[in-house]
Amino acid sequence: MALRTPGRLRALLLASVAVSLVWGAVSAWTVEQRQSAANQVVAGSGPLSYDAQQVYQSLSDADATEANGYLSAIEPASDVTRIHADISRAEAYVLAIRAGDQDPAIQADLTTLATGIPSYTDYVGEADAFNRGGQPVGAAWLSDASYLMRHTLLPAASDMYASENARLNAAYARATGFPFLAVGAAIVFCLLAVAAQYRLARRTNRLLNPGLAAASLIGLVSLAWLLGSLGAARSGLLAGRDQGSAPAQFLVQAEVTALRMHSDESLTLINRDGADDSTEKEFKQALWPLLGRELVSAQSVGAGSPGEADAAAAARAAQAWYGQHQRVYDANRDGDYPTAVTLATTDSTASFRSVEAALGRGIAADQAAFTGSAASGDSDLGGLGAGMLIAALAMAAACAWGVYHRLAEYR
Amino acid sequence: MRNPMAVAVVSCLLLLGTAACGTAASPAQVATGATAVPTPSGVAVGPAALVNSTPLGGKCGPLADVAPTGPLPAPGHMPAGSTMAKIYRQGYLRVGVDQTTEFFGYRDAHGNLVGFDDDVARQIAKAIFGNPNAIRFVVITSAQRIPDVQNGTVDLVADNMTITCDRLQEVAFSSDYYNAGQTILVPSNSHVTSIGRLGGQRVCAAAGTTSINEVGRQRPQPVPVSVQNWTDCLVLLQQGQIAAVSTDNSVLVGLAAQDPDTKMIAKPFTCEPHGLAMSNAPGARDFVRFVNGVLEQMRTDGEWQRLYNQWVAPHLGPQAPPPPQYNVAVEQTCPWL
Repeated sequence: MALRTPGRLRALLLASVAVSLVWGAVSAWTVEQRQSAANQVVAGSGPLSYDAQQVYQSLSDADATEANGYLSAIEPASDVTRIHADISRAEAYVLAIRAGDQDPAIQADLTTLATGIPSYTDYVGEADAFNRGGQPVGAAWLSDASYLMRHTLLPAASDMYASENARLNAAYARATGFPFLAVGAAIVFCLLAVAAQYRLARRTNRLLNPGLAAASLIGLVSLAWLLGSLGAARSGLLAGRDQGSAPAQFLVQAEVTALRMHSDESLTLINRDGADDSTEKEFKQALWPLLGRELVSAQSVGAGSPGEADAAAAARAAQAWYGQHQRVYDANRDGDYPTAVTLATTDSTASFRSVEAALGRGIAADQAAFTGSAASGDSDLGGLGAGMLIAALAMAAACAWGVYHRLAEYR
Repeated sequence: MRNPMAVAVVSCLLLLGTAACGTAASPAQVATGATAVPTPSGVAVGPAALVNSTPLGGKCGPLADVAPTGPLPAPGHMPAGSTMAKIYRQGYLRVGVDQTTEFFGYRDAHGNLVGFDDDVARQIAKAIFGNPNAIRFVVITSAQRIPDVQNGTVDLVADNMTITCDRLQEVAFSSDYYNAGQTILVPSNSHVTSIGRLGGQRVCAAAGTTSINEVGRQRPQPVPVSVQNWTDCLVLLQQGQIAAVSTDNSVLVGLAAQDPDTKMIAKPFTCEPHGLAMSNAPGARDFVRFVNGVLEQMRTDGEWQRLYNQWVAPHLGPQAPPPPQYNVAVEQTCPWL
């Protein structure tokens, strides 16, 4: 008890103002961090993940469309247009990602894509030109194109998509984790306020200091506001993930798998690998079970999501497609090549298209859910940081006013 | 640090002492060829290209037991218990063919498999069924020809196959139905006139063939490059990744027809009898004898000449059917050697 009472009161004045300001800093900093992470989800990783997905899907689609078109004696004009659109879309999104993401690993993937896509279009052009002339070397060029696509371009696109998704998930974690620092600080400051009130009450024989009481009340209200807003933002963002981006990721994977299967079916017929069957084996032994797992995951992860019904529809359509594929396989195995080609370009392609259409609907629905929910979660944080600072200033003012009045009694 | 540019600049400054700033492969690296030229699947270069290849020639007869004896059974009336009767019951003849060798076995613009080899096989089907279209073609690569005969995937292989003593250990061959010779295909502006001028340069042939073996035997030795199909060699030539393709003139002429910027050196340096491959199981000798009988008939009734003139003569000049030899297996004389 070295200090006399006025000295203590002066110290209390300074301490309470400081605590108020520290609370303001901690709460505003928390909001800023959240806003930045939520913004990363909505405006950074979210769109980049979507861009990478577009690259991955477009290239897969080009591979499958080119292979299937090659099977027809005259490649349908719609296939040519479609491949053009696929390649243009892939290149446009490569440029978009290049501008939006400076990560060296991503940049390496982008370089692979930017240098490989022109080679791919070259090879496809050679394949189509020779095929038009009915010359067998066209199939060898096509095989090269497909090999480049599958061993260089698609792995880079897949890698990039996985990196962007990993970063999206990390941003989700930052934006939705428990705000330990703010809540911890609030608890400590509450205890300090109670202790200060208690000691002040004993010393001055007044039940309550109105200034400190008002500051505490403002502090509690601002804490409630902070937790409420963070909670609302969190539930918006989590809804965006659970009902949107997470199931969409599985549906995209399923679509890419289905496209590769469609491509494999054509390549088995084009490629000379007749009895070697490597593409046929990949279709049945690796990709078919994988597609099943991805569709099951899309449905379980996205239970209640807008794309859930589409995932189920895709699974049903895939069963029918597998039956059609088996007919292609049987005809080819029996040496009835013309029938195998006809089935592959008509019935089996139609079945594949219905799988693809269901997946496309599901991806679009989930993507829309993601955008809506995540944006609403992001907007829940609007104005919160400024509010926290104003509340802290009000608390500091109330503390100063309350303690100063007691201090004045000693003059 | 919400601005990504600022983040990038700062992290680059931090990294400046140790690594190049920015992308993993700089434009300069790309421009100087740091990214490799894409190559087709299944390419092997150097000694690896020679794995499972097979040497030419040798004496490994006699094959008197497969010489035709008497007239062929009438189509549709195969001797009970014979291999042909089994094929007849199956409803069609399964034939392993290539789809990439123009004029011998390839897909035409309508997607149909056609060519000299395919038509010879149709004659076998006609002799069994009375119908040349009672046939199912199975498309195979060069390296699959022997395994597919051995495991019964096909009844017969008609795919530009050279009869060699090594191969006779594994499959049975019909009598010689065509003579080819190995030569080279080069870009039309190339000054190379023989394989002897290609030492140290890359020369392509399909894996598991006599051709790739011959490439490896040349002195000075070229660098052998093996691929799955002959058209893969043509792609490598068009990409400038090899100096020449080397195999039978029968194959090269088909590749040359697909690319006017190539030329085939006319004079071959080998003489290679071609045969239809079948199972060499003891119980299947009757089928080999039957096929030899069909070939004999084709030689005498002009069918062989007709098919040759239709598919091959316009590109490789006239040839008469090679005489069958059943006593000494794999020796033939060709007019060019």
